[in-house]
Amino acid sequence: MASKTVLVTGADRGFGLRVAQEFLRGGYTVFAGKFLDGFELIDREAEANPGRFITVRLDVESRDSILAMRDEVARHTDRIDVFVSNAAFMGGGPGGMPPPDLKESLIDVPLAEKSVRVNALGALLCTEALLPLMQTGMKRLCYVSSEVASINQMMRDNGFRYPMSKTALNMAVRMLHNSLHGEGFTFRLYHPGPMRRMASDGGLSGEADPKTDPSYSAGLAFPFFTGDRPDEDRLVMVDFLGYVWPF
Amino acid sequence: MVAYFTDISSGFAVRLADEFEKSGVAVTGGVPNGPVDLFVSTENERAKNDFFSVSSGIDPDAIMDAVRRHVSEPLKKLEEVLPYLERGGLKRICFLSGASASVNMNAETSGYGYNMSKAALHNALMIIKNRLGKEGYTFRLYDPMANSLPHTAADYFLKGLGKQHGNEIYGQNEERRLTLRDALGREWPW
Ligand SMILES: NC(=O)c1ccc[n+]([C@@H]2O[C@H](COP(=O)([O-])OP(=O)(O)OC[C@H]3O[C@@H](n4cnc5c(N)ncnc54)[C@H](OP(=O)(O)O)[C@@H]3O)[C@@H](O)[C@H]2O)c1
Repeated sequence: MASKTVLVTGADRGFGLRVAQEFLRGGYTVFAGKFLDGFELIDREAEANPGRFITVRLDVESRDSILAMRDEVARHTDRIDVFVSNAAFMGGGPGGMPPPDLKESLIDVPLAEKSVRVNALGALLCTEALLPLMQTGMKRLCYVSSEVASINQMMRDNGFRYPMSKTALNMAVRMLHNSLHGEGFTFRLYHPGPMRRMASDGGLSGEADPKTDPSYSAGLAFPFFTGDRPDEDRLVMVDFLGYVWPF
Repeated sequence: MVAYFTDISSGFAVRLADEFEKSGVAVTGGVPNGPVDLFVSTENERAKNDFFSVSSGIDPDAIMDAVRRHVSEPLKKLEEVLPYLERGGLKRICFLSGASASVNMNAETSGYGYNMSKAALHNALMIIKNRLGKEGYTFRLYDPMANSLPHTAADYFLKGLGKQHGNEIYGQNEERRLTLRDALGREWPW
């Protein structure tokens, strides 16, 4: 495959879809992780760009699915240049803090563990699975994290399920960096900023503000994910405006 | 005073409990039958199956086991003990942890389960502190290092940290912060 290649997880909608489209426009061959049924924008992109935008079934919570994705990608190419870990489980309602009487549930164990499995472990297992395909290309590993992963800046007093899963992700990325930076891999840890959720028809929830359209953050992410940085030795979490966040 | 330990079976927890008792604090491990002053989560082991790296092969079960032991189960126990802490005088929540769970400072290539679960716990505790701190709760997050200084740990868990407690070493607001400190008193960045 002559063009550069990228694999994006959770590319059915939102930031994942938009950043996959940015890569396509940037001349990359895109492998777009498809998780949802009924979200057809990703399929339409594949139909319009045969051989350049390829959907692959991917549930990052399942190692079997991750390995099947890797095998499917390997049928098309022997090289992935850029990996973008974007898939995330944010659902399940408010994250569980005790109300003032401290009697109700502090932690919903199944949902808390699912958050870590999808948002942190899933990213780690996808990285591990793709490493054999990433030995010769750009060796760029990109992870969509969040401001809520920053313990230093944590102002919330409620809902720790999703934030703690993103902190676990940051730690996983730190340890991957410890292992792989010496082998020439470079890392991007990205906070995309507040983004509205995308419905199956591409419509966005909430107040119309171009800066909270996932396309906006995806447009800013593309040069960050693909360009060079002066401080490649350091692992930093950078937001959509280019500011570095403390861990 | 009464301290609730999530587990009193491991070596360091036993010695910590001894130190508490020397200071006149009764230690319980079962369902409390009255007010509790301190909640102490002692789970802090690196499991034998947690010594893989990305090149030797990630063990997802080891990671999720660590999340269960270091996050889900202790927070579930905290939930159970909160009504008893609410009735106690000190309202202090203590967790053993490790400096390797500092995202800033970690330099390891194995121990994903321990480090990811403890880093996650640190963020959960910051959110819990932001909530319960307003209600008078205080927090200790402590790296016992080589587990050789249980008296230092007991001292740190039991004493007050603000000037109002006669402790001039830390600033007036130390008790309002959540910090990860090790057995030598060093604060670790998150
Ligand atoms: N939106 C924000 O304000 C915001 C802020 C900071 C960071 N972020 C991060 O930015 C990224 C994109 O956010 P977004 O707003 O575009 O979210 P999104 O619309 O929910 O996109 C994430 C996608 O991942 C999918 N997914 C969930 N579980 C999966 C699994 N097991 N395997 C594969 N895919 C899975 C989701 O499907 P389901 O919808 O079925 O769950 C969803 O389609 C996420 O990593 C998020 O954590 C978002």
